[in-house]
Amino acid sequence: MRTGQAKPDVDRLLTLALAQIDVPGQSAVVLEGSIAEGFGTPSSDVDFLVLVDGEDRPAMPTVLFLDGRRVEVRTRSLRQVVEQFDAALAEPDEDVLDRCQRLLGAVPLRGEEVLNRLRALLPADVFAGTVSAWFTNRARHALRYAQAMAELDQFDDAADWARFGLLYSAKSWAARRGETYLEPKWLSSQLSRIERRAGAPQELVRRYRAGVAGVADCVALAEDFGVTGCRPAPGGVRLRRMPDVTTWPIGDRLHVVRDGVDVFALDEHAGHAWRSIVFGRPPAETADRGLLAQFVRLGLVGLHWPDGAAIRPASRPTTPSPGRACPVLSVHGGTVVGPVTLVPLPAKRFCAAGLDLVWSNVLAENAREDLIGALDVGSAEVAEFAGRRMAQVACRGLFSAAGIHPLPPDAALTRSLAELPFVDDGLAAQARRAERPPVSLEELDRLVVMVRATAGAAGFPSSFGSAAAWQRTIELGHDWLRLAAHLNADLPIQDAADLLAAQRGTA
Amino acid sequence: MNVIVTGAAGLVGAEVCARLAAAGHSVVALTHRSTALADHRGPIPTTPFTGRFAAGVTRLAVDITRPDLGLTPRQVDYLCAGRCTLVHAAAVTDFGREDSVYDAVNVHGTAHALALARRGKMPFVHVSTAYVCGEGDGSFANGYERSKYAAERLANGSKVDVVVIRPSIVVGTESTGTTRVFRNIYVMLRLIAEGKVGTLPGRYDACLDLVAVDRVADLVTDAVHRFGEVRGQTLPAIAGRPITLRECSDVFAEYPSLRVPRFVPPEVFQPDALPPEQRRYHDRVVRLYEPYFRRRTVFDDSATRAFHRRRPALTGAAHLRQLLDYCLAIGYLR
Repeated sequence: MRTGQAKPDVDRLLTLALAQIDVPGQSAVVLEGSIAEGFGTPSSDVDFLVLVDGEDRPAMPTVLFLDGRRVEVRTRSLRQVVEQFDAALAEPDEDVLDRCQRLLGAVPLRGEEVLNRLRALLPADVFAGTVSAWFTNRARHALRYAQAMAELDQFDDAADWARFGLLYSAKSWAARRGETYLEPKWLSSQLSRIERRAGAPQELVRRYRAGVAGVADCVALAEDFGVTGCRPAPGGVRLRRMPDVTTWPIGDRLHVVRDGVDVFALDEHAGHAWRSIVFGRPPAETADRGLLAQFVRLGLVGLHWPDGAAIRPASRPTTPSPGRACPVLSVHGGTVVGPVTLVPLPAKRFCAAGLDLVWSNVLAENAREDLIGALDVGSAEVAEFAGRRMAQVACRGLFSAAGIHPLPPDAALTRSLAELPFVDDGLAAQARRAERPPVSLEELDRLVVMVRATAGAAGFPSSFGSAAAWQRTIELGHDWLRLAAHLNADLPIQDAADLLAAQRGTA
Repeated sequence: MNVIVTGAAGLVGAEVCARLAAAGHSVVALTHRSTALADHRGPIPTTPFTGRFAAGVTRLAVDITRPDLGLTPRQVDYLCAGRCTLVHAAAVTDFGREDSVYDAVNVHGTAHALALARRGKMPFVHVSTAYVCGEGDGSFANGYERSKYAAERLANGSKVDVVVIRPSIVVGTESTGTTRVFRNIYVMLRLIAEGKVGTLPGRYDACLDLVAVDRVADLVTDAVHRFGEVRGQTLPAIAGRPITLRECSDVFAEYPSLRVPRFVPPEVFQPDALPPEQRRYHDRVVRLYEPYFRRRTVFDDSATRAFHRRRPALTGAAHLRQLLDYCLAIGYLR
């Protein structure tokens, strides 16, 4: 322990801990974490690491409560430690660096020679350089992201990220001076220790502690900490393609699919903003900056610096609350309840339900043709069958609009309509009336009109009335089919698969 | 080595001139009107051809539609005395031209170039097209294909030593997508990307073979250098991994600003149902390319692979992305 503050009785705690857990007798044990660093408080955990010269051990710590303190005991094989050291140098990430740092900064309790042997594999100055570079990189991304948010008029975001960037810059500076503990919350203590070692106050530390506001001042101080390349560049940040993000219009509505799973339906205004995005260029002058920033936060579009380097802030894309509209979709796509609506269905089900919806309307037209033919020739049984089918397939659309896929059996549809929150009693009664004999084309047509009005399919073409109407039907279904093919979603009929041939991998 | 290149100002011809000159050969660049040559990296230094074969690229204006390419007897004598190899890259590659234009340039032009080669005992590298395959039933999609087929027959039926190079759809360079000519496929890319044509007749399993111009030029240059190894052979210059229209559609969907085309099977496609502006584009442009949106032709380039080890590194969707990125970067697409 580097200082004497908040000293728990470590030896006693270790004895108590080892009495409760199974540890090979020759294992080395170290104290690591904030107490070992000298930053601990009376409420800090006591972290022991057991180093086993044998089989690999699970990462999950054993948590004990001893003498009023929480004690965590982790176990690692020597091989695992060496692997972590290698990873820290080859491809450092936060978790690996943290584990390495904790061991390098540990206090030996048993088997000190084992710890010394391990430490020799990763010299402190090499590790300090690695940690500093890692923080510099993180700081640069944060500060560049702050600049980007400022350019997108997101000033609160920009300020937050500039503060993060400055903090990481200070951590990078501190790491170069041997303060490699990763956790940001002890930065102040680390800076104090640097000053103590230097024997004099440090100007950079004074300026940092004095507080800095605004992106520009954060960037300026970060430069003095050694993090450069974050000043606004000519032309500003550029927009960057994100993997697995695709755009699919359904009718006039744009849908953005993320990772093949999430579907975002855009209203007209958001659609314009989305269409303004050209990779490799700055945001368009006329684009809604708030929406562009939202697209960035959602991970739908990325950013890069004018030098071509991607800006990757240390945060994952966000996911909004799913849209609550009901029905959730119409033949024209997902129902929007704002500029950008997360469709409350996984992409494949959304697509399959949309296709079912279109297809139910086609089938209703087909059944109507059959019904008219049967009525013309006076075939009552055929007419009754066709009439029932027309009512049932029309009602399929209501379930599809609710996002239900696969559909319930046709025979159960009309009596299940009450389960759909957007179907009123009048529509349910009309469905039951139209389904039963005697067949009434008038009642059935009325039902179809009501269903289409409710399911967002008003004006659906009479698919079999003419070649032009069939063409319109194909086009209406085509956008859904194209998305379905991209997602490899269920298609309602084989004919649809044939229409898109290669989309099923026949090419 | 002395090399004559017809169509030297064209997309492939200029790249070939640059490579041959860089290899230390004396190149006589035959052009119709252009006095300036440029490959994808920029202008190629040239000097006028004065009757002597000099290092680098010398240029000479010709009219390929005329016997002896419109050259004076003295000029013809100079060329024939040079123990040259002749690369014949001159052609009209645009679609929608009158048959007489294709015949004059692509067919008769080839005949005139072959006559020059015969007289000068020149090995003849003929730049044809992979699409001489036509529709597979002896018919052709357009006058371009028909004329290139006829030209290839002339070349193969001549008493000249010939190597035929058959590029597929020639596009920008493999490394950056750079091109200085935005014709043919690029015209369609723009019309589709900008939504000027939304619905097209086509099949999602149709294949487009896009080959980078530098790969074609490399093969032509290699054929010049090692003519004896491939004399009498036909070498496809193709990507080897064609891209389907389905893949094109998926790649377009990666770009927010680009429109994704709807391909409707030709048998149910109805141009009359198109909005008036799209109908105009259909009649003027799309119609010319329609065969390429339904064909599922896959080319066999085993002969090329046996001769020329260098294979396209970037094919399929990755290559299309490269081309689109370049078009967006320079503002050809928005």
